[in-house]
Amino acid sequence: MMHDTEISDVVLAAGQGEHWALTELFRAYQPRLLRYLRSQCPEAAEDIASEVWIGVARTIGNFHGDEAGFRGWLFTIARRRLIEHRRRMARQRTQALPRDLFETPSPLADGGDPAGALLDRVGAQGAVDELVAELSPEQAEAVLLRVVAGLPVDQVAEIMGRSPGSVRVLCHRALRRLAIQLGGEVRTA
Amino acid sequence: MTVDRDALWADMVQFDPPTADRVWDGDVSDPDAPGWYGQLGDLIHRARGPAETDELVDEPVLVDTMRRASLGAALVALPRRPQVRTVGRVVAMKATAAVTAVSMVGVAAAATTGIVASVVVPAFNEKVLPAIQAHVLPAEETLDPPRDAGGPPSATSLHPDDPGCTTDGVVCTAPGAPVVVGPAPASALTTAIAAEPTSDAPSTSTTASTTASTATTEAVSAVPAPVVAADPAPVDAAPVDPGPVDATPFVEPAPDPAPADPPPADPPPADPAPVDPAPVDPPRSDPAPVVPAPVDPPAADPGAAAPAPVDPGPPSTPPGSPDPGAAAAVATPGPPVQAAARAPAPTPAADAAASVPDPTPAADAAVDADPTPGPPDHAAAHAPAPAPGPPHDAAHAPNAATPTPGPPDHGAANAATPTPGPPDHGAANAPTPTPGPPDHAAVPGQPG
Repeated sequence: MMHDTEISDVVLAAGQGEHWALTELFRAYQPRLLRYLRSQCPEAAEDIASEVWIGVARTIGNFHGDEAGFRGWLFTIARRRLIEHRRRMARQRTQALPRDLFETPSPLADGGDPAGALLDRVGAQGAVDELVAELSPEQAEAVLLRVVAGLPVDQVAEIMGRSPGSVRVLCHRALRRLAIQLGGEVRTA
Repeated sequence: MTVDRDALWADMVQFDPPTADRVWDGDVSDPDAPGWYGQLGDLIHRARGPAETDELVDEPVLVDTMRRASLGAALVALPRRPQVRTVGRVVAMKATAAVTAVSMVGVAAAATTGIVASVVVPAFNEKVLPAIQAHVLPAEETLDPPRDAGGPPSATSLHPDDPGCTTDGVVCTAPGAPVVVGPAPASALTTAIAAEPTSDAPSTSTTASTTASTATTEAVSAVPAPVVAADPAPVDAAPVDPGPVDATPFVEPAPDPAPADPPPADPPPADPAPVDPAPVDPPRSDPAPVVPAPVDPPAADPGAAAPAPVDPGPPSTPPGSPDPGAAAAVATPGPPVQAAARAPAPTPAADAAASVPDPTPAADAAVDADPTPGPPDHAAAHAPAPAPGPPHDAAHAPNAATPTPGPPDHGAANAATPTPGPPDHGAANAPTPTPGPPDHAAVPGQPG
């Protein structure tokens, strides 16, 4: 994350193709972007992230705003690329298998370190996955944008094409479900 | 029915946006918060944790790609003309389609309603056709009365005084007007030469004979069309340099079949020949005699017209026999004078060619002044044929100089041979002996 004071300079330099500025932006926002995409589309998160960054580089010269605005712009592009990817996949009628089945053997299968597997689970992506595991897609998307992207309700509502009240309801329902998931007892009449 | 305390907290959070925001930021430190919120807060903090190694693996490649994309985007963003062109094409196609559709609908509507047959055709017949007939048929215009008589001035019959007319009156072209190369001009000249002078003899530029009948003129005018078209070269030269042009054509020695034939039939064949003559021209085109303007007035003077002796007349040469000495000088009184017409105006050049030692205007005057009536001057009829333009007149002029077996032109004979003789009938046709601009066509012996 960057401050508003430096984001303008970085964005301006990135628009001129400055390598350092692009690197700064990538390092600041790539982790959260990738977590969001991995949570929504694990099989193509990296590819979609690459497309998002190329799109940002092409049009960053036209961007004007603060840091929150840049974040919202970045995740807006990411969400659109994600939707496009889903449409492509729907037309292709193929289902990619999870990459873990081929590349990442079970940490415990060949006598691996259980601590490492635990650390992976408690890592950032593990936390994101656990956070949205029991949520509906809409709730999960709202929570991801709200938590991972760090966007306020109004901006999330704008990205999702909903009203702020609708987003609040989605987040409230997600909260109640998380309460049940995390062991709380939320009983209603 | 009981409501759990944690559920009540969750519901309250919903109606307190700041608290809800803090919940999702993991910053709630409410002592009344349920226990599970601790775990949720931990997940949120972990999800927002710093970058991990696997998340930045693609940094070098992606940053380079982003750099190229940013530079390429800047370059690509500049030209937008292809899009504009595409939009222009689309707009043009749509406009064309719209025009086509409208026109087709209009035609279909007109055909359906019958407006074409009921309105358009009658209007065309009433207004357009008459206008076309009035302007497209030049022969009819040529028959119109001269301007002096009240008729409208037309390009076909220019008055000598009008700008663009040569002094000798043989060549009349409006200044700046396109050179005449069609049947219309030929007929126009015909009119100018033959039909002109009934009412205004002195001022008329051309021939002489009032007697040139309209019928003859028409007949001639109908013929000349091809003749004019066949000889474009002289036509072009005429407007540029009228003086020399007049002289040049007269030199034409080409044999004129016309003399033997009746007037109307002659012109067509006679024309082509006169056009060619390069070799003969130079001598005839002697510039000295060509300058007729100042000399003419005296020639027209009736007093000077007296010289009857100038007219050789029939005695000099038997009728029908060509005069070896002077080409045009066949002096046979019987038939109408064709030579004079052929030499419409045997300009001074013709005289020179005929080696007339006496270039005095007397001969010319005699011809013009001869008031004696006589048969219609066929010369006038013949003149039209060559007349399509100034050059043609000049072309026919040589005929006067060349021996013509046909009826002798007394005027020409007089000019060619000083021998006295009967008055030139061709000249006699001149309507009025009153002084005026000399009729070059009728005056073969006009001095230079």
